[in-house]
Amino acid sequence: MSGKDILISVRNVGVRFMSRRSLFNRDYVEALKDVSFDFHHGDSLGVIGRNGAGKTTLLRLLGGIIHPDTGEIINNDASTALLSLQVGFDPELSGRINVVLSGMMLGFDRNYVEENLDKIIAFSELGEVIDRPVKSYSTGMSARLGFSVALELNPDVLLIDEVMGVGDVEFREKSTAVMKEKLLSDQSIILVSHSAGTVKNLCNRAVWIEDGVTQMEGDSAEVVEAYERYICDNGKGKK
Amino acid sequence: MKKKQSLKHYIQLIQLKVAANLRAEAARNYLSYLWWIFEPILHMLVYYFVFGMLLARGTENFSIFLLTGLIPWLWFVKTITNSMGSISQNKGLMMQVHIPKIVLPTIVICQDAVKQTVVVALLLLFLVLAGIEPSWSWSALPLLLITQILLIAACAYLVAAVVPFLPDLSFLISMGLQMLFFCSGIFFKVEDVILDKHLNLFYMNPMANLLKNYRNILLYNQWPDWQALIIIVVLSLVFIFVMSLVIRKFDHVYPRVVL
Repeated sequence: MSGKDILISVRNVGVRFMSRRSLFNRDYVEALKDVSFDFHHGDSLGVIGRNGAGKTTLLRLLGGIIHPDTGEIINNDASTALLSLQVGFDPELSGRINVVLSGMMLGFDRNYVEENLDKIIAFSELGEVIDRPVKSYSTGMSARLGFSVALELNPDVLLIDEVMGVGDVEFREKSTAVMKEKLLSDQSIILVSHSAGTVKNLCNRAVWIEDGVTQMEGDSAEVVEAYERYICDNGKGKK
Repeated sequence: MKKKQSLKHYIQLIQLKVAANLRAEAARNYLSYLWWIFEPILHMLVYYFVFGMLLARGTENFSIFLLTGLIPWLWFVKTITNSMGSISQNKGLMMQVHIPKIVLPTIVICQDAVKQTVVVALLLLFLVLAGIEPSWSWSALPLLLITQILLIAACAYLVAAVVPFLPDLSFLISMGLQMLFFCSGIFFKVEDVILDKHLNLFYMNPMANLLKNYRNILLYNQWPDWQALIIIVVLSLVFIFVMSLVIRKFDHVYPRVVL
């Protein structure tokens, strides 16, 4: 599937956050040190690494939310939508208006979002509840809604942050199926996870990040295998 | 698939969000929209009690005098206070999508401005009911409102831009607003209280200046002090321009500092 045009290219990217202790005492936390990879159109790229490896920071970089301190990210005009557990919904507003607002914030035209509104609501399976304020939703419900927005609006690149474990089994299976379908129809996905299984299952390529540095990039099966071996050797991993 | 991020797109977004916020705000309280009116009236009653009765500072028509000062003042304070947190309170959103951060304080400014138009309309009604004859000078009111919204926007952008970097500043800003309250001639007649030699200094405060003009056109049949208004408008516009550049410059830095 790969080998097509490069959508996003990440070159030696580093990000450090300033953590303020007090007025004159500050130090830096390096979330990413040196990460590089190319992302091609139609690819499904899994970013794998342990907690604190800098995966979420990487997604924020790819989504254009923050800029890197060193290195560069070259985005060839691809629209991105970030999906994560904490969806940026306004709890006081209804699900319906939140869908329109978040679609527009993702950069989509208002008419386009409204045309797709019914599809989005149908996919989320929220039904009548859609007109109630989001604060009355459960975590699973709002994650489902956020997931539906990003899936149905078809951004060039879907950025997914550990969201696959959300919702009941049925919804999880449905979204996995839809994502596989999207992959076949050329949707590009970047998925972040510390679960090797998810990456192996859904991605054709993978990048392994350890301590803010790219360890390996390539075919997902190979990368996942190397990652699992490393985790076993260190004796720190879950599996 | 459409992707556009023109100015028009963001104006639509702001409109939608402001309308939704106003509706949600009303739905949250039992008395909903009535609070917009009750709030200034309750303030008025408090100051009437303290300054009009206890301190015996009341002038004739003291309630009208208080209201014409309090209503524009509350607009100013509220928008500034709401703008302080406008960027850091939307941290969840900022981590999710990239939006120009100037949208956030702009939503606050627009939301409070919509409320204010309703409140001002009721103020006019109240004045008529209280026996004040509408005069031609009332026609200058829209210009005063525009001047004030520009002043408010300038200050709101300033605090919205700075507070995320220095959260401690919000305490100082609250103090500053309180000081400004006492220095704006809300509950006293400026000519009776302020010494002549301090008058110029007193009117350097744009809010004091605006309040004087509000009262002149609404209560005393006088045209506003055009020169002062033009100065406020020009300075505010310069400030708005500079602050919008500053906020744009830090667009990708805010998500890091509010973390």
